[in-house]
Amino acid sequence: MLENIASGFELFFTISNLLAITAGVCLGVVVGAIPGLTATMAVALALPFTFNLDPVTGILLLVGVYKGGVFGGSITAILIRAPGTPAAACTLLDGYPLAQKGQAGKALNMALYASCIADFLSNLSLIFFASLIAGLALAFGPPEYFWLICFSLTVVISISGDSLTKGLISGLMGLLTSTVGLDLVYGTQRFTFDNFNLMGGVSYIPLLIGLFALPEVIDFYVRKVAPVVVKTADKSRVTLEEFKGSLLSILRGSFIGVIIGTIPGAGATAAAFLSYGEARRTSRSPETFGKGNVEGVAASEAGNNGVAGATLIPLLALGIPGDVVTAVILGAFMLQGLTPGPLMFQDNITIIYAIFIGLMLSSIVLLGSGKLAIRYFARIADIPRHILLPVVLMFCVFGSYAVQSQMFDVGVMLAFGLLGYMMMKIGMAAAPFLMAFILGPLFEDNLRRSFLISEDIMIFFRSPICWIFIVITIFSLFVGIRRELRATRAKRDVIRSKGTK
Amino acid sequence: MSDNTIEADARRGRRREIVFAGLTLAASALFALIVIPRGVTTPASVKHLPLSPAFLPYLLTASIGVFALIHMLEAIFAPHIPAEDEGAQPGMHPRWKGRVLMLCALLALYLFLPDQLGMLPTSILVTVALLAIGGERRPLILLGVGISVPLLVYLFFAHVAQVPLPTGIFEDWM
Repeated sequence: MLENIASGFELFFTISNLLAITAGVCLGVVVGAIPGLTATMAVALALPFTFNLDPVTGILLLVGVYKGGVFGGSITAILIRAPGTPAAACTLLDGYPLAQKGQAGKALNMALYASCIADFLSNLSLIFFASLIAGLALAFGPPEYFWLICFSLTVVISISGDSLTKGLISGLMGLLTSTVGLDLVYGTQRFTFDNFNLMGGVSYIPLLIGLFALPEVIDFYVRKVAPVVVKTADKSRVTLEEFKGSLLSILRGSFIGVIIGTIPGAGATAAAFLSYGEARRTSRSPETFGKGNVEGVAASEAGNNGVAGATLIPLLALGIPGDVVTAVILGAFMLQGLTPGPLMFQDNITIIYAIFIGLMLSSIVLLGSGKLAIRYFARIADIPRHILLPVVLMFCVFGSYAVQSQMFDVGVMLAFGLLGYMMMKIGMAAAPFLMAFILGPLFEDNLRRSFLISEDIMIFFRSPICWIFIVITIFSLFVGIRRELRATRAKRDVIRSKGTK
Repeated sequence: MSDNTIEADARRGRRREIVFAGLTLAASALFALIVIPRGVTTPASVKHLPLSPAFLPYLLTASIGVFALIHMLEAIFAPHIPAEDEGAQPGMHPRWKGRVLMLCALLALYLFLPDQLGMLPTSILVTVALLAIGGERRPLILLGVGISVPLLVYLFFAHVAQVPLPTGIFEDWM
């Protein structure tokens, strides 16, 4: 084994590999920070550049782009409330309020630290537990997935904002929106009304941009004064106390990210929201979440980035891509004449070790390039709002159009922007909508696939994994609802006592 | 703040919540009675209820209705809890109606003009107009930001990200 590791080091330490990983991470951070351009798109764009590179160099370039893209999404989420990636939508819940308080630097730095730690832990889990965790992922069938999604959906309670019922309605609306498109089982139309553009469902990038970024633009032109005055970001830093206070959430989020990342299809968005929900549930001051709690930023970024390394586990250990990005990376492996899976660990172990070393280094590169990016991107916060917001709107339009190169998606973005603005006005949180919209297809698909496997409802209770998720779903529901009801009762008691005085 | 003002705010807040719940209830009824039957095609061969394409939409619509009802009862019978930023937010702009109308018109331009005029000219037009509506009067900023930023963003998307943006009447030129 030591001989293989030494060979891996020898293979990795070349100028081209170091350049590839640095360039990849930097490119990923920049592309990820642009609303509409996702990490997936960045990896796909970088793929042609790998054709003439060595296998390790090419793969490391793509992995660097992916990791940079995952972090980059949080930059614009924090600064202008326009998440670069869907998972970064969770980061804006506390990141943007911090930016409004003039602490954008603190939020960005905490996001970076949490991202790097989670990424590093995720890489470690990939290296040491790949085969073990991959075996666990294989034990997931439709009923297990169904309960996992049910558990993930309980987070809606934690991100409901001031009103639990409104948050639940928002989540249900998100689920309902996710049903638009061709039916997965019968292929019949649902809410498409013969519109060809809706056959594949509502695109999530225009929905995401519309729901979060556009309401800020509309609000600016409606209000008497600029609603947000984001102060200079450079002066705020993460203190040691804040870092220590968030460390547990970072570690927990990383663990959640690793587990979710290992399971094909579950995705970084679910991990980010789950990690955020857990951080809020276990916090001594849950009421500060959503209003600029730096621990909330740390938790969501840890969950988000914990997924990055772990998504490579099913790819490298089993040859199964867990999401679109890893499918593109699988394509890159194949273009290089390599087939990921158990045989690769026998035939190309040196390449595997070289990639592992590169992955570990990518966390350090991410820290450096992230620091650099924060220094320059944070200046966005200093731009006057009346100049910044027209540019934000332009990015919203270009980003929405870029998804499928059709103006219909711009229309979708504008429609959800209006919906988001109305939701903002009536105090209904948009995060449950997005969370449910992204998990909706997985929820329904696995529910119906379970029924296709067996007509007996007992299929949902067939394995210990099902039972584990049933128990934690019920526990999470019970604890979440009890906490929200207690908080509401306490507020009402205060109002009643004021009324009797 | 005087007691009368607080009471008036609470009454207004309560009324707003009742209207919201009522509209949500009405929307869920509309969905259940008209939109789902017309918008979801259910094949005759469906064996089990959960396998029907209409199962989840009906379930979700009913759930929305139930929670809207709970919200309405809460708004009627329980004391109104003001949102934390309620009242603390700045008021409307004196010309907000005109500004909103102009914003809507510019958003409509963004939606319908790129196919005819091209994405770049449309972006320049809308960005300059929005800067002007936002209060920018310096020609250097108006034209400098209004032209250079859309141009840079266009070049990035079209030539780096390889997105085939609409070129409209400037197709040959671009």
